[in-house]
Amino acid sequence: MTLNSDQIVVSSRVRLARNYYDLPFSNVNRPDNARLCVERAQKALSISADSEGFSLYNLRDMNKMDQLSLMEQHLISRDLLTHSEVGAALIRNDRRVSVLVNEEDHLRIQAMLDCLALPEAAKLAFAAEEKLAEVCDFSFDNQLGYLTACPTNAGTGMRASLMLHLPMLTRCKQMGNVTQSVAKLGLTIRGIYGEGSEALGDLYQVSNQVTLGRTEEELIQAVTAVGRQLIDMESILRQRALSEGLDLPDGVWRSFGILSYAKQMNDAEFMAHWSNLRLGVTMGIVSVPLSVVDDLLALAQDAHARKFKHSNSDLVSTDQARCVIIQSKLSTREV
Amino acid sequence: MLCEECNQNPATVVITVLSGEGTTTRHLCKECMDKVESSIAKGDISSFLSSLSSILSKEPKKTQTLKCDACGLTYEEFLNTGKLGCTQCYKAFSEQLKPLLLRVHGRNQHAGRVPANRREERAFEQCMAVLKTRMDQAISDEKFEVAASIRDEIRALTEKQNAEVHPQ
Repeated sequence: MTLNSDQIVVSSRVRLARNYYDLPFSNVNRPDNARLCVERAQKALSISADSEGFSLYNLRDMNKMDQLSLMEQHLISRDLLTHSEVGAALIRNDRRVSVLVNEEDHLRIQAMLDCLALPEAAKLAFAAEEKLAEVCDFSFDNQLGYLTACPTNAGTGMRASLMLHLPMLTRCKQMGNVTQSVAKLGLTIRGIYGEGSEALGDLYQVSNQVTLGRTEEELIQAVTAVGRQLIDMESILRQRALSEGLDLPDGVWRSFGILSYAKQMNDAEFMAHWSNLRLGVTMGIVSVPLSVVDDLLALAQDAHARKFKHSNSDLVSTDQARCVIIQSKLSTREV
Repeated sequence: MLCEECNQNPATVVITVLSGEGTTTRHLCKECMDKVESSIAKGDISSFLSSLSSILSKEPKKTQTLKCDACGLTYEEFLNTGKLGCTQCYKAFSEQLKPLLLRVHGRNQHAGRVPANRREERAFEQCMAVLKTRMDQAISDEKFEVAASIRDEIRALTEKQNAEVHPQ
């Protein structure tokens, strides 16, 4: 069977860093400025219940579990959680666009789609950015472009990233070589939650490191080109593994069995079996809708499982709650 | 970089002294170099040697004295955190940031999107850059009539632009 890109690409994400020209960059110790940034963003984006409307989430009004659950869905960043006193997020109701306010920069505008579609994600991010700029100008310099708190983001302020599921490249210990080659092209490979995070579940984010001196289109093309190459490499290794015997299907079915019947499971074990299951589903070994598997990626993480446990008094632990979530989700599969 | 003597003006002169102890290099601005030169002009060799040795004996002033007037962030604080404080920091530390940006990005001229209210200005600048390159090429090819006509075009466009920006 031939794999298509969407069987390896989990999501395409474009993030723009922007600062208002008239305020210091960091709002950590400036609650008045922080409030002003939220007000400006709120004024620019329509707050409504329809799918393209936005909802406001002030982190200080939320409990830790709800904050983490937004992070597990990649709607907010890990860094925003460290600024939870002043941090806020405006999230479009269809969850395709989120604007993080008072993170490292005043605004982090991000758009995310669950397929290989960086240009389309960029379009969504730019549409939100133009609305935000109507309320107040952004800090911009003719030579250095958009000015950001960290000079490594100056210029376009854009990070285009593809989240790829690369279990066979990981098993064949190719990711070290890949990471080195990619760095020479001004790109970088990170783990599931961005900078400094581990590649749990064999998930990797390929993104541009360079932000100045290239157009947004050039950066998107570079990330997409490397993404396509990795997809091809992963596909070849998968086909080879499938033709070499029963090891691959055996591993997939074992993981499927454990996910279907285990009574407790920590997040690291879940991620390892999830990766096997996703591999099996995309190779046609197990018949579960790919959307169900991808939904599990956020739903069976710690914060979601903890929330679920709190709402069900019969459950004794987060690890037990995780298994209940997984099994109820998998039972919806079409066999 | 800034003058290592006054730490105020950009360094434009490099002094290298070869001695038995090795090579010492200092970067100075024109004003500080003038002070050294005036000692030589006066023929006052002891004064010259004393001002030179005073410059050479000084450790280069640490960059921590560099500060952004708008937000108060020092360059040393930036080096510790990697974060700038405000838009003006880019101007206050521009000399120091130039090599850093070049090292990280390989380039230091923005090529991407421009805010809507700056797009005309940017298009004008790009047009001027193209015309200037063509004019320089025409001069080096000794096509002086072509160069003169491009010069007139640049002049006319600049006047038109100025009239639009500052209408009478």
